[in-house]
Amino acid sequence: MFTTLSLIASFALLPQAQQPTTILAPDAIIAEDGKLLEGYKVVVANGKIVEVSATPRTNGVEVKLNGILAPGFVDAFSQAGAERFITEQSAKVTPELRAADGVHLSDDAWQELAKHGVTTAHLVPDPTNVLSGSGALIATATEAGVAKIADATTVQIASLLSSSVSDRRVGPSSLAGALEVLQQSIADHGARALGHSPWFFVEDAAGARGVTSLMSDLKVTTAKFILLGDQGDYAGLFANQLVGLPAFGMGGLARRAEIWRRMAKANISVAFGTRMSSSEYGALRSSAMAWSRITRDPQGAFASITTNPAAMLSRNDIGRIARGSRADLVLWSAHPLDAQARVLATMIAGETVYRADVSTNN
Amino acid sequence: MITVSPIILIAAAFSAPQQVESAATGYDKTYVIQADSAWLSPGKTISPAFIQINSGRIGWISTSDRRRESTNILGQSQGKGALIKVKGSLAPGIVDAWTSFAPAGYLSDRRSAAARDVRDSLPVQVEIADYQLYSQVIAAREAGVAAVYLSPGWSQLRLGVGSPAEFSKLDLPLVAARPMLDFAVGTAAGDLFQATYNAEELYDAFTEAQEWRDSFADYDEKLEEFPDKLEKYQEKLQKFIDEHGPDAPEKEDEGEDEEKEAPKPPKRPKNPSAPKVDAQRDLLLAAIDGKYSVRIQAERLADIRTILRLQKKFGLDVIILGGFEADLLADELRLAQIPVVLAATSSQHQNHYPRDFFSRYQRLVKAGVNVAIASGGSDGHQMMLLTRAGDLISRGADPATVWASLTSVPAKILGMNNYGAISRGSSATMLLFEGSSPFDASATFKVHKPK
Repeated sequence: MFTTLSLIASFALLPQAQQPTTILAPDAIIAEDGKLLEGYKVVVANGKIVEVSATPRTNGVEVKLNGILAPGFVDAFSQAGAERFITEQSAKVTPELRAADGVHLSDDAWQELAKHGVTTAHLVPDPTNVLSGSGALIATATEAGVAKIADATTVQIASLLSSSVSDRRVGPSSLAGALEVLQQSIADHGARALGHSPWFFVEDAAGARGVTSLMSDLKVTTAKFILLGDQGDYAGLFANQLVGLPAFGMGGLARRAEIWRRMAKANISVAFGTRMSSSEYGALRSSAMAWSRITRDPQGAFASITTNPAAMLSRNDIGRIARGSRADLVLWSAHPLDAQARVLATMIAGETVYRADVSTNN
Repeated sequence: MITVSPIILIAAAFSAPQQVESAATGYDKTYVIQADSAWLSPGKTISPAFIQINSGRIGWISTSDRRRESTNILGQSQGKGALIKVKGSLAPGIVDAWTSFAPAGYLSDRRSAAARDVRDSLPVQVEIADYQLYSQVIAAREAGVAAVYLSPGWSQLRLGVGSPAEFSKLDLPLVAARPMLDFAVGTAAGDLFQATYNAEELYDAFTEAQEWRDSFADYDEKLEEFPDKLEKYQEKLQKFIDEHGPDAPEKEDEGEDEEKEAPKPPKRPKNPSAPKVDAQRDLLLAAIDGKYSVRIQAERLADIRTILRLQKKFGLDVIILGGFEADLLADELRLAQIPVVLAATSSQHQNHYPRDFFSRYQRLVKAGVNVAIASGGSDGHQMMLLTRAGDLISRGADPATVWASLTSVPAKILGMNNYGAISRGSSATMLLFEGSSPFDASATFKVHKPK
């Protein structure tokens, strides 16, 4: 526990953009495996982490921080900050649609997310078309108080969900039809239709097998899957893989706990996303806590909202405190998976975008 | 945390009130757990902790190993008994005073909700007798829950009879304390529940029940008077027969041949009719007589005011569930000794200051109202209980008070004296955590199920 005075002093000393090199010296940092490392310092320059060490060799202004320094959370698939679902329903495939074009960077949700420790959100088009369009990576806040597009075109989002394949107005009306449309799109557009590392929203074994078979034919090995529906029916197909999973929401605890436990036993790693699950700003953190309690794997739980979503996006510059990463750092009063912890300050790309007001507990 | 000396602790443990045993839980082993520390009750901890468990209940509690060598009838040593060493701290299991658990038999019951009783449908203690309920219990256990209230479910004004329940060795619920009568009134604040009855109707139902019972006094009076009335009637009848019957003396013709009305016999008094019996009304009367506590889900100010009136008029033992605006009447609730069970559901957390969960909780607690935090009838929210409670602490709530809201307060509300604390005779279903507290999910968290 820290005194109010020391906290305020710490916030005041957090680095600003004009400071070229700052050495952050918290009580502890959270390593990539989710464990606490006491006595480590994080050197930040030009918005990036340039060194992580107990005895940094880089010169700079050292700032003592009372608290635990953690990487900012990454929402693997989000719909935050979009006024409406990002979709074009008049066509079966909309590969050119960009989530980045539908984002409201001044939406209040972004600032709230930054206050809750979420520094990056992967905004995805609504997965209602077989090819839905490309996602966008959003830095949730800047010093100017608005979000910022960090990557306007991430991955192509594809969908084998019944909600899209059964749409009679535009079709297709079956999973087989959806797979056919997918195949035809690839034939029409070539590799451009799927991009480098497509993400597939699936909700049953038939859809997952169909996509896997198709990707195998195309020799695409980088496809990623978001598992919706009742994962208990088909998650076993993804043993030893990394998959996207909706954040913890209401209902069905008994089955969900059983499924999560079996997924962990099958060595399935997960990346949580809030799309189609929860609109709570703390949903990612709550989900990781629930994963930790159910699977008894706190490290895997922490990875599910930091390094795993980054890995889904093939990015090593977010979700971790490591040299070369973007300086997306959150100062917590305790370990972020401790429900008693609170965000004291949030830094994105080296800019302090949020400081807690300790006098109001808000 | 306050550290308690072992001598005081043991003395307190032995002076604990005798616990009411529920149906057989099936736990039958005796052993001792040695942990780094134990949270006995809100604000009280010991370190190290030795806790003896006997058939699912806690025997002795100490900071040292109090196991003694035992001997058989031949005087041969039988050893000290089992000692299980664990890493981390023990704490009492959570008591969820508001769940949506219901037996399969209850859900398929076609009787009106008001007449149903959860206890009638509890599964027999056979392995996986009710698969859904079994899996719900397993999941609740994993979330750290040791005991629950089996609600009669979502419905309209009258919900029937629910029951506090503990978990057996077979992970099925067992009745663990006095049943309670459930109601839901008004509209919930943004929650699933959208009933539109208001509390006035409930008030009227209790008033009508009371009036019905009062009408019994009239009936008793009439019943008492009836023999006299009958006797008088019989006298009049005899007189009538004497005067007008076939053996009656003929009367002289008084002259003019005028048409006269035939004499009428006296009317027989009617048997007093007893007031009609109604099972639903009987439940209300039983609540008025103190046989049931009355649980009412009420969110809005007007409804909560009516409940205060209801409690005052009939002297009911009332518990408010939900209570979105209960904090606005916190002082009145404290004076009426009405506890509030808040739901840890998402919708209750998404409200902003001053209607946010933390602000409402703090206002109630600071006014002296007993507040429990429960999953709120939403399947899945048991897993969120520790997260929500931890969030209250992160925002400035007193840790011991918050912990009490998850353990001792709901146990008291449900009348489950053997839950909510680690003490002699209490349940041995406990949490085992390696982090800084049970709220910390950055370290391993397990639940000890008695053997």
